Amino acid sequence: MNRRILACVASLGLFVLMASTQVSSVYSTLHAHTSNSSPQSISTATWRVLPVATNTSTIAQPLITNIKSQSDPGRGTYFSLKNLGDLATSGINVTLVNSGSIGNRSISLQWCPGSIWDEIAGTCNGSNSGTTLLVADKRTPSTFFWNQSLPTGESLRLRLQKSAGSGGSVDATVTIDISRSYLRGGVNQIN
Amino acid sequence: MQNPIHRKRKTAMSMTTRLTAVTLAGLVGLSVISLSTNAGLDAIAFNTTPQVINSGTVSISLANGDGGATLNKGFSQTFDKMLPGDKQTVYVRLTNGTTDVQNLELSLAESPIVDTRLTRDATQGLKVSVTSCAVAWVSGSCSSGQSARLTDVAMSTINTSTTGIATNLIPGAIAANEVQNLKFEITLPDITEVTTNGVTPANSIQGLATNVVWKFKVAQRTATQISN
Repeated sequence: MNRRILACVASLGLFVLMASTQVSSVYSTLHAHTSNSSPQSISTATWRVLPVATNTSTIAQPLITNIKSQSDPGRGTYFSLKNLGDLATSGINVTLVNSGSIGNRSISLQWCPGSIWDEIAGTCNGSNSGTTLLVADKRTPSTFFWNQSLPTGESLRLRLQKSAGSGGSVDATVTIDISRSYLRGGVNQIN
Repeated sequence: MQNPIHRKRKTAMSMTTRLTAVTLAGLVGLSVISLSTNAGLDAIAFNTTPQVINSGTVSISLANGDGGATLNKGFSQTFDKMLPGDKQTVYVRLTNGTTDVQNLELSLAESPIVDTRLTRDATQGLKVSVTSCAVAWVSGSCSSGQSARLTDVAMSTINTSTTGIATNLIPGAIAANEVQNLKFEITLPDITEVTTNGVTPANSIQGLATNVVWKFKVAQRTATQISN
């Protein structure tokens, strides 16, 4: 009995083997392949502008504390916007939050166009004030789009100045937003 | 005078001898007959010139195209620091071997395998368009036989390093030695993405890098049965 079962199984196995051989021979096809021998490298750019303490810093420092007034040495507190992205920006979106602890003193954001600040004397081209970009009252975020280009790796030096008055520590939080639309448009590069 | 017993014995012996002789003679005769049955005359004919039979070789080769502006570097061209909305164009030339083939398929693989959105995201990742030209591209123009083969297809769908599969770029027969002049346009879809204080949003498209191997495959022509 066992021999019969064994014979049946063996026969079935042989049949399956022959059938599969038949099928594979029906569907076998020659193919040829080709490809680029060295993988093609593709990468995307970054767009990043940070508020930093100094022109050489690369660490974002959005919170600027104890902002000086025009009567203090240096006539304000200085910081930089640095482009650490891969491409020049054509504009910068700046949001300033006045987080002063006492009183209602406002903060002005100033720039020294075409020159650099004398941070000891607190002057721009000999003047005590630069160009005011933005004024932020207490607690109310103030935002503006600055249509200012900033090449990659370069910096813009800015000054925060609290309004005149007595006492009180005033802090500011600076937020810099860079949108894709602030960079060059898409290009069609034919290689 | 012979002894009768002796004479009988002699007669019996001669009978045996005769029977043996007859049997032997019969056997010899039979063997001769059987041998003569298998013997025959043969006639052989053959082709004096050997018939030539060989199998075809299925092959295809890839080279840089010559339709670009100046570089003509094909897939050796690096696409560096692409921005959303950018399009990069390269030209390549595929030449079929000496055998008819069919169904030119296109797929890609990452090498080394890098998990980036560029080749894995169907929406924000790279897209590819392929246009063929019956003649060589000249300064980005095709003077004859231009045909769109693939239009803005997400590279993720043909990325066989993940779940993509090859697409049939040129269906049907391709003749021996036929040249496919192909223009590849790789686009990074335009999106709005904002970086805040240098921090990119989640699933950013920025700062990604991948290495792509473009893979082409053809199959032998359909097998035929020819009665000559």
